[in-house]
Amino acid sequence: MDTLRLTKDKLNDFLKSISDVQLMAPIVKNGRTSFEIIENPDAVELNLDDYTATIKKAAFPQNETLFAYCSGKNGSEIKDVQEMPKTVVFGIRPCDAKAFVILDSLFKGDYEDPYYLKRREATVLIGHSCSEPTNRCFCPSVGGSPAGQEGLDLLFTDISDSAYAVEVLTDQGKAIIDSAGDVLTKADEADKVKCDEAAKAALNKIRRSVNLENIHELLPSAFNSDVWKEIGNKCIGCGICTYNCPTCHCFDIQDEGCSAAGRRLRVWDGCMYPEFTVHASGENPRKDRGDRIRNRMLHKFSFYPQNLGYVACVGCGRCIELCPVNEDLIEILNKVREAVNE
Amino acid sequence: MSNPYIPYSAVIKDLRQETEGERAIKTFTVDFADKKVWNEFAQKPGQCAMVGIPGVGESMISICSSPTQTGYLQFSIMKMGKVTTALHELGVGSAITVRGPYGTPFPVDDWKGKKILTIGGGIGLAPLRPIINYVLHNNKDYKGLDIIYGARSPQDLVFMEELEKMKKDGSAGINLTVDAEADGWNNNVGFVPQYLLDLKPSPENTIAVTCGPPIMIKFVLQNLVELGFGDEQIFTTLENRMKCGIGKCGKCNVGGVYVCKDGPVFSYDKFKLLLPDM
Amino acid sequence: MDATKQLREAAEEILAREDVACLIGYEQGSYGFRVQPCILTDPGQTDRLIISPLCVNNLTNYLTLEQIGPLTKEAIGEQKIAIVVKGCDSRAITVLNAENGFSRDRLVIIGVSSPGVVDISKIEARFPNAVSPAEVTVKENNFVISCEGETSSIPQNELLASKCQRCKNAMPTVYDVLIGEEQPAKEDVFEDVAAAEAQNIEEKAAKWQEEFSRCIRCYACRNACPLCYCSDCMLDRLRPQFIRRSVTAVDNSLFHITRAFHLAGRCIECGECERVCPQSIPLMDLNRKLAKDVKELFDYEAGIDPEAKPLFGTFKTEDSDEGIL
Repeated sequence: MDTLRLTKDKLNDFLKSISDVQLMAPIVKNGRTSFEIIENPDAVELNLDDYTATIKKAAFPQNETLFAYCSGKNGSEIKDVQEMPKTVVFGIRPCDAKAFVILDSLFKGDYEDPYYLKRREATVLIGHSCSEPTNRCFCPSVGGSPAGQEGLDLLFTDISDSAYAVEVLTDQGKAIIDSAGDVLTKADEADKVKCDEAAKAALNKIRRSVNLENIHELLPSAFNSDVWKEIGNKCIGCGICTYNCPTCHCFDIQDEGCSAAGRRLRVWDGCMYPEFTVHASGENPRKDRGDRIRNRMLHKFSFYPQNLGYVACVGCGRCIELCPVNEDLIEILNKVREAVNE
Repeated sequence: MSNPYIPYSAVIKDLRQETEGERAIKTFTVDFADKKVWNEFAQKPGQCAMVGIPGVGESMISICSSPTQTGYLQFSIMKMGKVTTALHELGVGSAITVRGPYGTPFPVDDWKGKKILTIGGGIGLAPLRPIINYVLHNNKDYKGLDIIYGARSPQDLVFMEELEKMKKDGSAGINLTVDAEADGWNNNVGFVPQYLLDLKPSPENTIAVTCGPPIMIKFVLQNLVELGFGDEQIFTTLENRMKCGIGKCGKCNVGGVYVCKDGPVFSYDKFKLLLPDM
Repeated sequence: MDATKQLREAAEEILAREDVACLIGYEQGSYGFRVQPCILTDPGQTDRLIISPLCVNNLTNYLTLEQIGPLTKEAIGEQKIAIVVKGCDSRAITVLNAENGFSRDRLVIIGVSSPGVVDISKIEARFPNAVSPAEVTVKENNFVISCEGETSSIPQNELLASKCQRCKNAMPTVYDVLIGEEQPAKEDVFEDVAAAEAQNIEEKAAKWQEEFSRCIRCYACRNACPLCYCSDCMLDRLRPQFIRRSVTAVDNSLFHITRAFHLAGRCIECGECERVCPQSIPLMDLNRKLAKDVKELFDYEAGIDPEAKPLFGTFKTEDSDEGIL
């Protein structure tokens, strides 16, 4: 597909041309980037240094009303209240876009999840490739890259202080370009070369990696190892890793309201909380924190690949950066590998 | 796109108290408010459904009636948590919701021509009842039906009327036991796994299916192997905390499977592959 | 003597004792400026221990977190747990002891007279992308930082955590062994709270509405807090449900304000809640305001006096009774 060029001073014009849809883009609040629905594109900040903001909410919001109900003597009336406004997400990183592709396979599965899937259909993803990966990034280890295209409709790359290269990757992306008019120009060969060079340069800046050779068999083989207890000792079960992880999808279903009227909704939940698996009888199959970390690693690196074909990790490193006690996924996998090899 | 989270409206047609006490068990007989739902809701023995009350929540309960019992569903529900307690407060005519059927069923068609042995403990007989009723209804297709069933005390046994009827008319071999001696109890005394060994059923052309408390399942499975049953002759059905019922929310994730959709029925060879945290 | 050396020597001696089962301390983290908690069981492991301005965690949190194998009564019986605590951390031990949450007698306390810890987000912003382990020491009023082969000297007040900048109790209030020099306590006049108090009610409401709207209800603040250890936390209750699971401004506010009140008179101002929050919510502003009120109304500061009883477990006839019916 085409590669185009957009000068940075025209970015606002481009964003303003995206009309009749919601625009979700990064803004900065209290020094932290956050993806929000914005009215005015002037507020957009492609803050490259700090990117812990979670973006999975674009297709998998933290609160999702499943239905509203109204109950009377003759039973309940149930109203499907899905509202899926068309949305353009701008400034998403390749790792986060890939995370959506990974989640798609789960939410399609044996039963189609209409909430997630309709939202995905209604969303266009415009990516911004990384030029300054940080010390927590390790996307190449899981098959990604700072300029990865999986899941994206358009990909912006900084090719100089004053311009972006814009790669058009899908028909939906093309539709956005068409409505932008002449704000974009065709990229020339030099631009395309700079685009490739930027991608290579970013890749070379990534310093952390993890050995995933045979990981989907290695982890189950270490199921009974004491190494999990040692790893689990410092975990405080806070759930930060699961909530901020772009491929974590666990949720709880709750009813709110009274017996006469209310709604059923789903909310994010995390397998790291002790209450996650507790039975009504009080029995808890995963009481120990080490057990829960083990389950999470197995889910991401063993079961998800076996059942759905993808390693459920995009190497974004949010869990590593945000963990209050330095539970480092790379270190965990390395420790388990060491324990198995002993 | 159909919406698997939207439940069907249903009505309680009958209630039967099975046991009393703080953890009472009631059998609910339920019909859909809209009869047309029966065209879609074709449950197979061993499947479960999400039974709920809007405003309170849902709980995954095994359908304890067989598909040969047409026009209604039955659920044996123990009063345990928020949802089941609310269900126990309802009466005949009350409205509830039902969503399903979910899960991998028992391969009852593959079992044709064989003898069926069901081994249950406590409320664990409920998920086995669809097999029992299916086999009784289609008795020409099977070589016989035996039931080994026990509970803590005579007051904790469920479906006693039905079991006594089967004993009387000889339609199934009934072997009952309780954990400890009790007044007026004239049958076996002892734990189910031990009683199984005492009875020494032959594995010849037999399928054994078991359900009950996790510790009972563990020992029953061991003892069946000891008695010479092959892996492919042994089946069990599991229970986990479940929320969505369709393999997405992650609550029932055990090993590489979601118990709600890849189970709850597991043959012993698959069960052995499940990792121990369940 | 270098604090780390002092600590290791003391730890080796303590872990060799028959009556000590394990030691909770700090060791080098997995990258850059990160330091991690560790639980040691053998005196031979003590060369893993470090103590530096990067040691930000409050290790007393582990005393009340259940499910940690090496610390349960089943695992260690009557044996003691050794623990490394800074000034603020040590106050938690006193509060836990007073409310029978955890007995001080089960501990061997290695108190560290701390020069203050760095704000990890500030130092990582100043020295981005450090992967090889970095070190920070104190020389006069500067932090000396060794990072990726280079050494720099930065004035302390540019990198110090805000809780340390206003700290009045750097010296552990309870200890069996002291690492570092004694530091006198200063009087806390809560100057940081004055600006917030000066706002009118609309400004305060708007500010907190905005802050709480960012909360994602991960409950990291609760889990990182050594004084939040109710086995039946109001947040997890379903029958009745006090706080809904949905993430809305109302439920978020209810959660934070209720938690702040549950901590009033017990919060020891270690600031962990604010440090761990992934959404940068200034939780200490709430806790500091309540601490000020507690000081003014009851002349009480949590965890300072080892003999003091829990504030809301006792009363004096001269206590303020505004608002009591």
